[in-house]
Amino acid sequence: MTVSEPLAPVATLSTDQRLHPWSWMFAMVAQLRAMLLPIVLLVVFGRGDRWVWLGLIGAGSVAMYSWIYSRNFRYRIGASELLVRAGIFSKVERHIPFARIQNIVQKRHLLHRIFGVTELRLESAGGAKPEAVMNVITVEAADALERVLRDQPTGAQTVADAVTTRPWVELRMADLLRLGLLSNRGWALIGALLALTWQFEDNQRNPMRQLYQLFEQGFSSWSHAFLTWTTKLFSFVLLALLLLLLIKLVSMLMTVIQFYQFQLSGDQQRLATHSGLLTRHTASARRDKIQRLIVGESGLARIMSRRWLSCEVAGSSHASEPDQKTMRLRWLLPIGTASEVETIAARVLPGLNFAALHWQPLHANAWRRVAKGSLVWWLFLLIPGTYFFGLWMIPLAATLAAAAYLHARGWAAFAAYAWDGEFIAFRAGWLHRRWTVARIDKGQSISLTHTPFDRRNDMQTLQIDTAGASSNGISLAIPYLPTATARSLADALGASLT
Amino acid sequence: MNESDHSLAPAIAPAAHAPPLQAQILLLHPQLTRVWRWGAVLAALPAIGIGSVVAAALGKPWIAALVIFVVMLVVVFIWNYARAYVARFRGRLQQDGLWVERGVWWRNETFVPRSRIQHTEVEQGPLARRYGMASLKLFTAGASHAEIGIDGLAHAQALALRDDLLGRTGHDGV
Repeated sequence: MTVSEPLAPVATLSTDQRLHPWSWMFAMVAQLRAMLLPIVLLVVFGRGDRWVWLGLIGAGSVAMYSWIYSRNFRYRIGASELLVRAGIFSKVERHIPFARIQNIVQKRHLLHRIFGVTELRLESAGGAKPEAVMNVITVEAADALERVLRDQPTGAQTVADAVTTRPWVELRMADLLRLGLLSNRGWALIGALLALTWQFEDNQRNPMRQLYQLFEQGFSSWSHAFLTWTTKLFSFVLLALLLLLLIKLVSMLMTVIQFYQFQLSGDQQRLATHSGLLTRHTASARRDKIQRLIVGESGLARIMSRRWLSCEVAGSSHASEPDQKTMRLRWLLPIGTASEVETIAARVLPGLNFAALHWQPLHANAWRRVAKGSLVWWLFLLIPGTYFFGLWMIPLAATLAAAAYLHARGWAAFAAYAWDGEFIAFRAGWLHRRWTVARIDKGQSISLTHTPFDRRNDMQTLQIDTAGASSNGISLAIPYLPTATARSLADALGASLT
Repeated sequence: MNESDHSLAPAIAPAAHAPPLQAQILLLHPQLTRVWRWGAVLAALPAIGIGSVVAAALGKPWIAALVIFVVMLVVVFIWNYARAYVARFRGRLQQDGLWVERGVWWRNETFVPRSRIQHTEVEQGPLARRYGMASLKLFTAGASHAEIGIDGLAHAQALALRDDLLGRTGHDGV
């Protein structure tokens, strides 16, 4: 099917719609998810029935609130706007013009899929909260709503445009496993679990310690020629390797869960991604609202010749909920070769030729600034380190200094900017490399900053601000530019903005 | 510093039918230095008072001496910083946008095109109101420079700037 048929009579949808009867349960689950760990700990470790009752009362009031809220929620699809009525104590009536809705996110975890419902979030370009959150409605209702939003004329007409049937990107299991190997998803989880085992097991029964002793005995019995400290060293290394293996395995598992059947598809107006094994996550955004692209390549990824591509979409930068920003359209190509990344980037930002960007280096002395900066930090570590390690600090300090030097030179050699009159780009990194590129008309303001250190070295930092920017590891802030270059570049960018 | 070096004027000549707008220089309120200096002194008094009370309560007079010393350092710093800040402030309202340069050691120049200004705010604190000063805040859709504030303007100039900046519209680049 290429052309979507005209929507079924809008009249049927212009009556008040309500949320799914079981919405209260999903709302409660969402609220409790944040409190889950404390509640579990409370119930498991709390002493006495009082805590259990408190927990129950808390959960009960949350359930009550969710039930009343869900029952009172109403929405209606009008001719050009969405009308939402909600609230328990303060009733709110929102008129949301369709044209203002830019990001549409659908989230379905296991419970949603059992009931055939979905959580739908509609976001606009600004504001602290999404314009509307429907938790939950049936999948059919969500699709109908999305169809209506998609068919709104927002400049270019849409109905006649053929919706591409083939998605732009489809990840297979091999890609996902590779991505899991390259990333360290879940390392925090393993770290937390390890910390927990340390807390609750008394020292001798600690599993890590037991493993370590096992290795030690194994090594010493293998060859009596080993000195005690070599045995210790080998055991330690083996333990570290096992830990790394565990992290990678968990990472692969979590990657598969997060990116299962990842698909990126797009048409003239919108881009959409679908992914997830347990939680099905669908995010879509208007193509012209994509602010900038970010490409990343870690050291390990470079060995495997893979990169990742993500984007930043205009939306509320002051997200009131912690996962709001991550629910927005972000990953365009979680893993791919350099040429695949360039192809997708060119499709997302027409006119961008990544490979043909003319990269200009930063100031010749940029590496000195970077080296001095990191050495200052290492100095802070040296002083307590000398106290603890004594003479062993000398080789350690030498290694750190060498690492700082290598990092500085590598970083400065790769760091560069590019400006071709339409796109401004910046790249930086040593082992972990990143590129970012934006079309200049997405720039909001230009700023030049210089610190006393900059002035002494005749450098300035040039920053181009874009909407919805988060740090993401790299921003369009180009440091260590020679003053003259920074000024002329700022002039050129400023002229292009107006 | 030569102001012509910092020109961010458009490279393209303005359209023939629009009369070229003379770039309007932004001036900080003439009393700003005085307000900041005396504001610092006024804020120092309760700090010293609290320090003395704590010292008396703990029976260690050296605490009071330390607090007085630190507060005096801060006041002297602000005394000089205010003058340096006002001397180094540069601002210009151009046809294509607003340009400000501020800071003493950490200097920052920001250019905001007219079309990118989402809305503006003119704010007056109680002390500022007494002297006829105001702060002008420009809001863009950006992230790190979502809000660009200029403190210490004359109230009349802040209002005039606000009116001028709101007048123009264009694609806001989001």
